[in-house]
Amino acid sequence: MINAVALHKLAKLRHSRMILIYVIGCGCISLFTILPVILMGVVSGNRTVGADTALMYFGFARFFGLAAALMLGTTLWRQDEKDGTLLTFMARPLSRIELLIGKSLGCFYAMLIYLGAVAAFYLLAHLLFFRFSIPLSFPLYLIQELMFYLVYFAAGAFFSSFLKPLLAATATLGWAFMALLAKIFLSLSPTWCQVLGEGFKFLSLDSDISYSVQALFTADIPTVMPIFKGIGYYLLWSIIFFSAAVVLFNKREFAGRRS
Amino acid sequence: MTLALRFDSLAKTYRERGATKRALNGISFDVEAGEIVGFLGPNGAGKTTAMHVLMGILFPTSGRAEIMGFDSRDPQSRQQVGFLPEVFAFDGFLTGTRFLKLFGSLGGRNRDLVAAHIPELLAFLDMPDAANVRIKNYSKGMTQKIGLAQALIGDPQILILDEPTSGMDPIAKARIKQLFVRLRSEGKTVFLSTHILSDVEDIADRVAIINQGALLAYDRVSSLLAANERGYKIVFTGGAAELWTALSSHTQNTDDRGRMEVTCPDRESKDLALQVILQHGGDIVLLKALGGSLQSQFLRLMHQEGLSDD
Repeated sequence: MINAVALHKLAKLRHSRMILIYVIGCGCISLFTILPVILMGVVSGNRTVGADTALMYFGFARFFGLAAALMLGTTLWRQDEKDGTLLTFMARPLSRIELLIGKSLGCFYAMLIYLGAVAAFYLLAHLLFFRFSIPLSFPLYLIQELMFYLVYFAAGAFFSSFLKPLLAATATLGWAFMALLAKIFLSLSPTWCQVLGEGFKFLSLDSDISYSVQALFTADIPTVMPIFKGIGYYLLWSIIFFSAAVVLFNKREFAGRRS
Repeated sequence: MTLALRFDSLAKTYRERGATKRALNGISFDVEAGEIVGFLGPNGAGKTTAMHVLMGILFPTSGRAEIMGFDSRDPQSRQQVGFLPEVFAFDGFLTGTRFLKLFGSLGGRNRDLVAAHIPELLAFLDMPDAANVRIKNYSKGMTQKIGLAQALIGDPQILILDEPTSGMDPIAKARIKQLFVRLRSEGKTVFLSTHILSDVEDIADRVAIINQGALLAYDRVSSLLAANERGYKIVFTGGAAELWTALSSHTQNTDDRGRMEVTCPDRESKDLALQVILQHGGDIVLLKALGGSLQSQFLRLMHQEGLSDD
């Protein structure tokens, strides 16, 4: 039953006009702007140009993936509530936990598809640069990237338990940027700034724990090692946020649509 | 008899803009399996709230609601239930068949059985061509019908329907009434909220009438009608000349079409009058219970509550 909900969610996303525009936009950016630059770098023999542009693509891909994950998280069940379809689901012999897990699984599938597209682009770039020599770091990079999206997805789902989607997205981004605030406060000398800085640091997503995209093209085992730390760290945050979202969803009451 | 549904001192309070609103005020009644029960009340009486508590969409503030002995918060309680919400809506990209397959699988039903049930269900609802049409292209009546179909898919034992015939044409409404009667004959329970009181009067075994969250009446339809009976009116034409004299003990009148009318104060005098009319060759055009309709009983109760001028 969970998988039926997940596949329905995926189908719903596939038919969402917003997602369609988004995917076409991402595809256009990669195909019409970045790919020609990489190809020109290869043709001219200046691989640095192509490699730098490929790295820029991964930067874009991360940004788009993050924004998509945030959107999926904040509208996880809110969109169904707005459409009036949630009640019909809830009237089935499914527990609310199963329903939320099913919907999240559908979003997870969507994120996997997105990462699949990113991976395809990477493989193409690698084919051009290194002729099929794919570093070990890449699969790990993809896993970490997935976990990174999951954090934003889960945080979005949590904040949307008590906030409207737009506010929930703002709150999630606020939380994500708390690390920056922590750095600012910790750099100031007054004690209260230090205390506040430490507090923000404790609550925030540690921005220092992220894998260098640069390593994708120059990977060796020592630079790959911190990635496991990143995967574990993001997974832990995802579990915390998602568990809280499930608890709140389980306690929530829903109003039907009015005629 | 087995209990299909139970409301036990069910109360529900909302917080709305800082004020406390009591939507259900400790209602208690049981619905037996194999009955059709009409759930009536004016807008905002608490019908939808009670149904949503039953379906686990809302939680009771106090008391409890049960389906086949399971607490309404337990997903197991919905195993044998088909539910149609007041305003049914679903994702427009799905075709009728895909939608029904999805909901069949969510009910944990056998896929092959569900697939076999779909064409039969759509044919009965007079929408066989809608199977491969996307829901977004459905008319309002068709959307309501597909909503009813999802409630019926997998052959549930209990149907909880919030205004099931809303937006449907008279032919569809008549079919749905037939369907409810057929389901009852198969031992299924139908608990429906509607504003079409004549339908409830025709098919329901019992009615529950609520207002402002309080249960005003819960009884058999026949008992409710009998309690409010104020005699009978018989309209007839023709008959021998002495017929009018034979009915002299009844109140007599002639209607605007020149047909004869007699009013009988009770069941015995009505039976007697009918016998006399038929013996004298009269043709009975209409026999109507006065003041005994569910509508008049409902309005009387609402009048007592200060909600109706009638």
